[in-house]
Amino acid sequence: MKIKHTIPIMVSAAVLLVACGGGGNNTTSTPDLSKSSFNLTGTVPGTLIEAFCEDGSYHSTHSEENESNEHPFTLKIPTNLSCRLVMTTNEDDPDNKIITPIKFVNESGASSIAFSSEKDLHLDFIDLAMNSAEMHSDENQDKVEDTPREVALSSNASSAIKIIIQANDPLDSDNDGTINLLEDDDGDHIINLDDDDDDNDGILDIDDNDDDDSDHDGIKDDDDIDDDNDGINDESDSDDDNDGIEDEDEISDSIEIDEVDEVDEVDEVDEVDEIDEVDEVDEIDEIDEVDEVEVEIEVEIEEEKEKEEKDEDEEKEKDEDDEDEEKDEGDSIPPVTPPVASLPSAGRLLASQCAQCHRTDANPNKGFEDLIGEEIYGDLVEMKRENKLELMHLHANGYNEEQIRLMDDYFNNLSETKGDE
Amino acid sequence: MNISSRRNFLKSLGGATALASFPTILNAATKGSRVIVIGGGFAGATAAKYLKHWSPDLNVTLIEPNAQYHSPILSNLVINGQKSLNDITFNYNALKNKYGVNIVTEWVQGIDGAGKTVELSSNVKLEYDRLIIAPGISFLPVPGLDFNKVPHAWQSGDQLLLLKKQLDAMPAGGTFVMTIPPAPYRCPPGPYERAALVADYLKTNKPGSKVIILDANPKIIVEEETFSHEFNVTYAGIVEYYKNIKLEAVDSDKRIAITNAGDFKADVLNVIPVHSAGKIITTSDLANHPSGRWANVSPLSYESTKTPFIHVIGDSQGTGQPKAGHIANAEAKVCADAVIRLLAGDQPYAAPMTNSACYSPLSTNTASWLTGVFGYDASTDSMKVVPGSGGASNGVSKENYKDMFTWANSLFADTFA
Repeated sequence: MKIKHTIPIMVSAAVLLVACGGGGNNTTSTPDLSKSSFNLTGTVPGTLIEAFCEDGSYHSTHSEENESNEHPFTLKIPTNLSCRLVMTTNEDDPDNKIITPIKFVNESGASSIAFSSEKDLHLDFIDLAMNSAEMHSDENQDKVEDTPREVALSSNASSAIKIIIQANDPLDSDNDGTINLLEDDDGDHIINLDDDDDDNDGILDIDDNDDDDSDHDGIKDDDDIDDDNDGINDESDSDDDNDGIEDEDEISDSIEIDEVDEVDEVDEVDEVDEIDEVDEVDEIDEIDEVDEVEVEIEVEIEEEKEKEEKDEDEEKEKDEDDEDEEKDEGDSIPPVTPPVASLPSAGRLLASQCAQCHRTDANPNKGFEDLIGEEIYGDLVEMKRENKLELMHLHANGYNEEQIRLMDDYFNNLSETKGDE
Repeated sequence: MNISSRRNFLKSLGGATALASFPTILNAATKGSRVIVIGGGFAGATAAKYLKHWSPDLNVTLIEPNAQYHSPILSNLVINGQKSLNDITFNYNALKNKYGVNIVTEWVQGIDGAGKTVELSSNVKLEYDRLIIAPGISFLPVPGLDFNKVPHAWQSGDQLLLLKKQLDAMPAGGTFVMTIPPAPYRCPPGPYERAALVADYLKTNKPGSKVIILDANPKIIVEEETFSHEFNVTYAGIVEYYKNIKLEAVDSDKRIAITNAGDFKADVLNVIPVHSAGKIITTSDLANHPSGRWANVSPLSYESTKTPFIHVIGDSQGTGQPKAGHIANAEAKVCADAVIRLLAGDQPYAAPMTNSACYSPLSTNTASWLTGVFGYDASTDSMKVVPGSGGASNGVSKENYKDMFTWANSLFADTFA
């Protein structure tokens, strides 16, 4: 059941973290995970490796010191949970630690901080920043890299991992690639994970419940599948808030009768809706197909791209004056570009308006010109200056230079993340 | 909470998690909101595709009664035999298999805006968080008009083939009469394009034939100079153009257009009636445009101003933008982006742009074009042509004809591939 309460969290006794850099390979995952977990292995500088998962569970290990600068680690992570990986160097030194969120990029360019796997994954050496001077960017001086480190996956890892792309990541509410626990909400240069008072309202987080996150795992209760982080999915948990009172009893015992009644009513409606939905879905097979978002890149996409390039080459060789040529062109629309999520942006939306006539990340047809990787700013500004009665010149007149710059940046970024397709 | 409490709090729960059964589905936020798109033309197919392209975690269902879509774009080339219907026919395989759009091949019998459900012809109800409707157009009734005898051919497919069949059977020296409805209607240059192409076809294949154009508008509404030249020079002696002609009734058996200017007898009669939004717009009480024929929407999101959580794009929306496949595709992207933002609790992008472009074949090897870029004008809450961006080709050319296929094939791919 998912019924909202405000309760103080009973925090387990503090246990000092094991020092890192030369720490043992001390994974927090217990042997119980062996049947439902996979090993994430790799090498890093002396590092704390942490995985924060969608149910609020936390898994960590330290790299193992050896005589080289590349320290191996093995982290057990549950299968069938989407998790986010974070690496921290100098983690036992609050003044000098550097936190690096990791974003995985598979062979086809799909990328996300969220991932899951059924199989063991091995990462090549990740050369992390060891001091603030080596950081790429830390404008708010919270010792967290402002953008996640992109880790390109090998062919084997790409085929094993599931890159999970989602519009609304409950662990990363602003979708900036840094999970909520690593944000610095109150701007005191202490990340929420380390901050006693995340919102600087004078109330310690353990007593503060104004963030709708009962278990303080960085996932709002509405999005949390395990509100009390007791390891039991709320749908199966008869005591969501772990206060020792069964949820059903809690409703009748509650002082806030009106509020509880309202919640109860909503809950019942939700349950009925869910049942209806299941019935309906059963009747339409196709609807089952897309529940969970996984971008699994297939070898055939590469093959399709090669075929497409070949087709384009052949097209160039045809006699341009042959009218039949256009018919053939119409018969052979190249294969589609794989879906790759991106966040809403002005550049993305404006650039999409070019795709009717140009190849982009969404349009596999070359059209008048392939814009992936193209710098369009100069050309469009020149067209505006020339002011000719040509279709593309008129389109250039439709946009101001700022808009052209946004589109130019978008297509440039496509080039950086995907390469020439 | 500091590091030695929160991290270890989390850590202490890691073991407990290990003992629990892991969830087999993602929670509500990651599972994906449900977006239903009704209509698989240029607007609907583009919306479904881009929703999944940009946000693969969304659960997007496209409801379209036909398994294939016949494009109105290039369809006049089927009439003159340069293209087959198959050349301009598309399916939804890429949307389904590559993008993960659920395809439901059924009619919709009703929409419950308050309950946020769509009821299919099979009586199945589907829930949505956001609904996008792109039903294209419908026609207002004309007394005596029987489309089985007098085709409109303004929606592609069987109607197109019927018109072609009638033209092929028309004797030399015959008369082709077509009526053009008052604007707005689908594809502003389309009727004039058709008239020119039919004239070109008759000139070669049915010598001595006539093309009579009965236009309800006070003048040729787009590319006036180009079309006037085609009618008065290129097809002089074949085309007769009449403006301000109001169609009052049709004798479908005798193929007579009965108008305010008299009766026009045809060997082949092509009546394009007054347009209205797709029927589901009116039956769902969404046609709140003052004309009663279109759905008023916000140009920022295409959300209905009548019923929240319902968006209307393409020919059925009433923003005043042209009704055509290219700009329907453009509107769909603005709508898809807005829906994604709204589902995330954000506001639609505040300065959306769309654009319209259309190439018109006017013979077997010449074409013209027409274009314009539209930007959001906050002072009037409407989309307006950006000054300097609207225009048409300087007459026809063979180069335009070649470019037409590049344009169309790209647009087809951007929508369906």
